[in-house]
Amino acid sequence: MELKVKVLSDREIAMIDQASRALLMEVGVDVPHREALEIFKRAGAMVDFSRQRVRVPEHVINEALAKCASCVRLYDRAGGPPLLIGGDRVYFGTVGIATNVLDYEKDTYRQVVCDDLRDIIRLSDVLNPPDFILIPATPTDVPSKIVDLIETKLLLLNTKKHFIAEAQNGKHCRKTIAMAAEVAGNLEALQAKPFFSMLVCLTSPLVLRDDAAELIIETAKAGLPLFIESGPMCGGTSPATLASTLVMANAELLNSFVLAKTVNPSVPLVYASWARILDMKSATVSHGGPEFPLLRIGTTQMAKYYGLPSGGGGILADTKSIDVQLGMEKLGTGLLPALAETNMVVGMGLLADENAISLEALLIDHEVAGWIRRAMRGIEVTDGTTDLSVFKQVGPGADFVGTQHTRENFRREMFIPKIMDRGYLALHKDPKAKAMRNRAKEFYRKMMEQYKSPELPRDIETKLDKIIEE
Amino acid sequence: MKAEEYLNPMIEAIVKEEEEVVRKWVSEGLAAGIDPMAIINQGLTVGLRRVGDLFADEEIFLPGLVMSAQIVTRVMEDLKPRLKAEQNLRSKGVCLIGTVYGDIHDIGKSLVALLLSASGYEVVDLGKSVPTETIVAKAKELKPQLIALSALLTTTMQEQRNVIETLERAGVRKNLKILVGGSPVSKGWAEEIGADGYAEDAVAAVAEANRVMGVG
Repeated sequence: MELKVKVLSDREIAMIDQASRALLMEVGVDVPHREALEIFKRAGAMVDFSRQRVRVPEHVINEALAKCASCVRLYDRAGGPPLLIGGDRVYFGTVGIATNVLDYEKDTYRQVVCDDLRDIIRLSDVLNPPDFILIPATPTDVPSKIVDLIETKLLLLNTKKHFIAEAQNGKHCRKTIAMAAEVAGNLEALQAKPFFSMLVCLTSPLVLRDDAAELIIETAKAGLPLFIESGPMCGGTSPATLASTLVMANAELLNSFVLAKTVNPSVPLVYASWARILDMKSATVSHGGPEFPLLRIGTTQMAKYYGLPSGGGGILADTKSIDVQLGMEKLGTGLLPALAETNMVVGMGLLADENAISLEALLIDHEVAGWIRRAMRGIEVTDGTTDLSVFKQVGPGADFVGTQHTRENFRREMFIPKIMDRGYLALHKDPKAKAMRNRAKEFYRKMMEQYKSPELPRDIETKLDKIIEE
Repeated sequence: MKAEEYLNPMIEAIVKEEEEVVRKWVSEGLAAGIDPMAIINQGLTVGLRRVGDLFADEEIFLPGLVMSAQIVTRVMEDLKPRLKAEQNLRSKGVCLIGTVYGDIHDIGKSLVALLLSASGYEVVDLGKSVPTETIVAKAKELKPQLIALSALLTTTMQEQRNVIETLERAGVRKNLKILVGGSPVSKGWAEEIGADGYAEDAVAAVAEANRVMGVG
């Protein structure tokens, strides 16, 4: 039997669904974007063009949901099997958009530059997980007007894994698609096997910003996958109950799905959320407490209720250093969503709530994700795993270490850590010599020996730069 | 063919835990006239050392280490009758090994015994929770050059001291070297109780045995 967790009963799921639908009718969502308002109108929503507010009735939501696929296929450029986002599958990814990096050598914070982003993309490329790469950081050494496009360029040049890109507006969204199409050969090849998804962050409470609307419209037109996230802060940008935060996060997502599915009924959508709390001591967002995974399980259950692929934050930490708190937060916020079968758990490499990225944290998160994956598999009880022949072979009083049975089973049954310190306490040696951070550094060097840049046409960088500059 | 052309694939096969392949290269090497002692010292022992290094580097795991050591031990046993009279596998010495009285931990001690055996020691494994008088009697009977004592509990590590003192009183201590090991045991403890050597794990135990015995 496998481990699974839930926080909502069927009755509670129905209550949240009903409240979300009522919220969309009785309050509605502000959509400050003319084209989007017209699309909502076309879909059958009640649109107040002067106040730029839409109210979506139930049947329109139902129509949008009926057009959704229960499984989204995310491809890579290496020709491997696609990630099947849906059902009980769980994948882990990076996340960031952080502008600070915890320097790997000096252990101090500084601003992210393009080389840092390149390094973290390359490490993400060789580690498994991450299974996909959500743009992990925002470099500060390029003009902010084009930073999103530079990020996409660095992703295209340094990894073949599926990635989730960000774009500042509709124009940049089109450019991002053009850049990916250039690497794919043409747009049709990209559409046939989309190796990137577009990230959309909704604004709480109940606003679909113009840039977010443009991203949804442009990406839907191209038929490429959308990873849409709602991220209300309980007590700040949503009411101070976790349940009403779920009601609103869900309503915002359903509303955005109506827009996407009206533009293109076949656009692949992932229902993702960062619903979280506002920390009342520091007046900032918190992702490391118990509420975060509770909300993640909640949003995942809502996605499953609608039969949608799910995603959201996990393996996250508020701590500012690689410390005890990091381990506690990363495992707690990773394990619980994974046990709820959130299909895309994003958070690897990030710390200091959402403000910093770290190679070390990414390596530790790789270990955390491996630990979680093993826990998720539970205990396999079959005729084979309970067979008595090995007991008879060894008999009472001896050990099983040298048996063929052990050789055949230990790798599947046991999680073999890469950087967790295990083993004897050697008192005559420095007990901290094998500490996780030191082992992470060794592991980093070992992993990077395996890195290979994607093979690309020589002039690809020039072509991508041309698209960026146009 | 040069000796290395037999020995290198033999070493490779030990790392890969392929007994049949090891045996194939041993018999072909013997047929080509390679000295059995060279097969042991430059083939089997080197292969096992490489396995030990890979284990220390976490490239291979316990079941693989045990399997490779078992292969080397078995192949070495089969080679013994072929050694010339003056060559002697006992050249590294007879080693008594056991977990001290009151302590039933077996796995680590057995691993050390296996690796010592595969490294050319004549190992007599006395088992676990071995009474001190048994160790002393066996020491008198077998005249080992090395005794290795395992203890996994802070309560039973005291017994390591007791064994050494009893061996001294029985007058057999000065003719042999003593190694101690086990998770609560430290280098400092080994010195305190008058042991000759200490190792923190099974791979290091072989190197430590070689060091105290003054053999390669």
